[in-house]
Amino acid sequence: MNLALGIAGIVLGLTACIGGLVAQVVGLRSPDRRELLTSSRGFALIAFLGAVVSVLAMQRALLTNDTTVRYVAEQSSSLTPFPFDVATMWGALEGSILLWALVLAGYTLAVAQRFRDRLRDPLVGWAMLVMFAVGIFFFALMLGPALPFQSFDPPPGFDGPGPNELLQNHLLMAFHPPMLYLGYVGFTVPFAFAIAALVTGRVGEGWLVETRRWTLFAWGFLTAGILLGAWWSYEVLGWGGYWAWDPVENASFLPWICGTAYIHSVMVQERRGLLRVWNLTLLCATFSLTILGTFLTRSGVVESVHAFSNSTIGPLLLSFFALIVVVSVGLIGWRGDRLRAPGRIDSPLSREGAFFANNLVFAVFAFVVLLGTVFPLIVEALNGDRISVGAPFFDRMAMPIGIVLLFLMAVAPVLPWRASNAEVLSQRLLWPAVGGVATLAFAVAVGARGFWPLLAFALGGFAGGSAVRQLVLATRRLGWRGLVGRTNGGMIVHLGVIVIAIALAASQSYLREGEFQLEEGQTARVAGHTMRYEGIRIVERDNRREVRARIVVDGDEVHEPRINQYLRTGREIGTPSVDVSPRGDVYLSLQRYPGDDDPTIGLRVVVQPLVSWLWVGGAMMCLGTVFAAFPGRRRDPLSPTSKPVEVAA
Amino acid sequence: MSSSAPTQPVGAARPSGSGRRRTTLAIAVAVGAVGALLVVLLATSPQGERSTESPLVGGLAPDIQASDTTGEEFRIDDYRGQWVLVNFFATWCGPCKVEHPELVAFSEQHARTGDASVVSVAFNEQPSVVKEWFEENGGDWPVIAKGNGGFALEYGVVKLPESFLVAPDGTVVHRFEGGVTAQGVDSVIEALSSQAGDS
Amino acid sequence: MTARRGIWILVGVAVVVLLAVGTRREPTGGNSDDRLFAIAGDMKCLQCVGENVANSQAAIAVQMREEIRRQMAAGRTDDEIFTYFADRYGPRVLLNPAGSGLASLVWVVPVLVVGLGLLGVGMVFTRSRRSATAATATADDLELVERARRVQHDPDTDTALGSDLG
Repeated sequence: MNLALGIAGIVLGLTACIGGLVAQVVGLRSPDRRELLTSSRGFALIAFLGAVVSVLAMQRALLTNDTTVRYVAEQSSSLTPFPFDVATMWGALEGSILLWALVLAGYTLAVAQRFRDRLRDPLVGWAMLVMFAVGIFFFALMLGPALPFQSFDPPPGFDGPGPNELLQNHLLMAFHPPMLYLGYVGFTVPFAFAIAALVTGRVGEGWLVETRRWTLFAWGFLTAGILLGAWWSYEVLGWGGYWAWDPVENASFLPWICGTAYIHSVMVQERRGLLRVWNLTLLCATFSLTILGTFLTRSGVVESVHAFSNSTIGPLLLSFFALIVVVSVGLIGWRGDRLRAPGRIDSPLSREGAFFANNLVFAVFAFVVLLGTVFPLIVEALNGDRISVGAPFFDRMAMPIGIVLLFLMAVAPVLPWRASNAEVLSQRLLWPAVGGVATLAFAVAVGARGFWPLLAFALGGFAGGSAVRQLVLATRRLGWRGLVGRTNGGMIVHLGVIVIAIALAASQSYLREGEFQLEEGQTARVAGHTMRYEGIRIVERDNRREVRARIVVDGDEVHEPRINQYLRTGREIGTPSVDVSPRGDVYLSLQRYPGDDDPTIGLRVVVQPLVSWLWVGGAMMCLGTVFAAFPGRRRDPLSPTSKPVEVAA
Repeated sequence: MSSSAPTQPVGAARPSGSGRRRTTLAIAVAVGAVGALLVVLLATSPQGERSTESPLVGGLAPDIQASDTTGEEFRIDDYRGQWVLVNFFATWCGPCKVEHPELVAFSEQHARTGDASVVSVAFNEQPSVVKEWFEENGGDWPVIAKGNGGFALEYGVVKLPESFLVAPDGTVVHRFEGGVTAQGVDSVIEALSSQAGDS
Repeated sequence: MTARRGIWILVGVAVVVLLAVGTRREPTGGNSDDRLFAIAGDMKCLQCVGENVANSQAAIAVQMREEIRRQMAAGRTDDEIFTYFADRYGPRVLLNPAGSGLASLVWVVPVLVVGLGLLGVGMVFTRSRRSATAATATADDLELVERARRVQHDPDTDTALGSDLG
């Protein structure tokens, strides 16, 4: 029953997308068939319903542990607790494609709904066409190599192994992938409009402004998804870190880099019509990188904790990526003449100049991350050597880039459009500079040392001062409205980024760790903290047995890092325990519990300052994104230049 | 109202229409070429696990010199003139237990001809535990349970079980990742012997 | 204005002084745990996926850490320790690609790209500043205007008719 429903839903979705595509093609070809374009709403609705039916069928199978569905038999188990069985849907390849299809169909329907009065416009028509085309790809994938609904004949008494234990340790697993997908898939929308603008040649109209909130929405979710992934990595994996520059982490980071560059650069196009080629390129790059990321996760080409088992899906995803790149590059090259800007960047010392520099820095960042990720493959293809490019490379590259970005964050908000001079800058940046020095002095006073982290703190203070200055000016003029709207929301996001940058600098540079073999009553010491081991306690749960070590941190906090023994598979996975405080975290990981002849435990302790600031900064970024999406003052979307919003300081 | 009409009078110069088109085209082609290279690279890269050659292959086998579980002194150099299968294992390792009968078969088969031996090196184990395990599971060849993981590091052992085939001249000739089969080792010995015979 | 300039000078001085006070070298000698984890952090745990030797709990990683400790105590330099492991496990055990050979390109290429990018940007800016302001429209410009004038405007949908497919 679930099988039939599931497959029916997918077929329905695929047929609807094909129908929608055909209707769009016919309607766009002949001007007297324009009415056909309005059918996209109906087709989008049917596609969405198809996806919903499939997802509900899968969820029903998971929640009832219907092992006649092969996916459930292989991925889930009767012992899997709620809500991890819900989350099991996206724990493996086929189910993750199903989730992707659901989100994509949802976005397609939302676009059709939002633009329902303009469906006859060829630009919107082409956008819907692109979205249906992408939908066809993903629904077809599910009917081919990634079929989630295959039948299985369970032998009597069969119970599946359950999801990978790492995916059952923490509730965040339930949220991390859906958020990421809302981000990834969300970029399909501005991409579709970009293609539509290129094809129709109408590259100068306000389509960018129209899709701004969609892009912001997708970007916000991608940011949240990445940060949740980092938090999950920290809380679950037991190594005390949050970002490993793992190839698949990089694959999610690359679209984020391009997306961030885009949401800044598009402001220049709105204001002055410049940087059109940049913006189109960034959008197409963002979307194609999401497909590339999907490919990297699902083929076996790079090793990763995220890698799903490889299958024939790899070549198909790679071909789709190639197709997108060819189409994007081809269209942009073809439309080169229409992308001429009505003006140019008059002076590097201007808001446009700063955003242009911003584009360059982000482009370099994306290039470096991509290079590092595929470099082992390049070397292997060229001379057969197998080398590794890991965190040391990426950290070393990211540091100067981060420093430059902090500097830009400080300077850009105070730069006027068109041109400026040192006089204006020295006036506007005075207080932020004082803020930077104050931050630096404070850091040195509390004992922070090291050139790079101190420079990061100083620039963080500088940039923070600039953002605060902007907010103060805006609230002085507009009251509470000074906190919402694009610029002000953006400043709050910047503050979040600065908090994260400071947290990164501190936790990476001042990390102290140690490994200890402790007997009961013994104490370990790291970086001024004491950890006393007091004994073992066993807790039995439905699907696992927990061996918990009682550790008293600094005399009063009790923590229990544990090793989980999973009953179904016999595997042992640890869960760390973290003592969180604003000043820093004490991260405890149980490596080994006492054996028959060895009463000691193996305890790993990592002391990292300011880690919790990462999550605070992340929350600020998300809050700022919400504020930024708040409607600002009404502005004529077709006018390329608008009245200045800022007053002189 | 068309979008491509400039909204400001022609003021500052910029490349003419065709010139601008050429620049964009050139950049587009360049980007496209890089993209194509990337796709080709990813398409031709091997997917999934692939075993690696050991950097030790072709060189002299790292020395193993310790007393085995019976107390006798073992030196790998003593075994020049015959093939040696150096097997790294642990008693808690499942696949090691699975491959063990194959090692027993291999050892017994070549004990008759005297042209190949097995030596087992335990990874981080108590000698008494290892001795007991061998008594339970059989196997009559030198077993080293000293030196903790030092020998494993010398040989670049990544996972257990792993085995290294050492030729009669003392050089490492092959690395077996995972469990071995008697036939598998035999075929490698045959292939390498005939190669040496031809040259 | 002089007050402002004065504050800027103070800011500059303060930054230099504070940074000078705060700068400190990374440990590359001695036998501290910091050095151990620094070295181990630059090596890949081959039994695990995506972890380095400093962070991993795998048996081989624990073993490698003990070996590094031993070698540190024996007075080996960082490079000697890295070479020891690379000789036995191959170059892929090092997370920092070697400084020579094909692998070193990964360090060189980004610097080259940045250099080229800056060069390109510089050229674009100087070229556009140097070129004189044109007094007449080019032939392409006139053609563009003609095309635009020929396009009809659809009052209902407020879009251009007939030009959608270019």
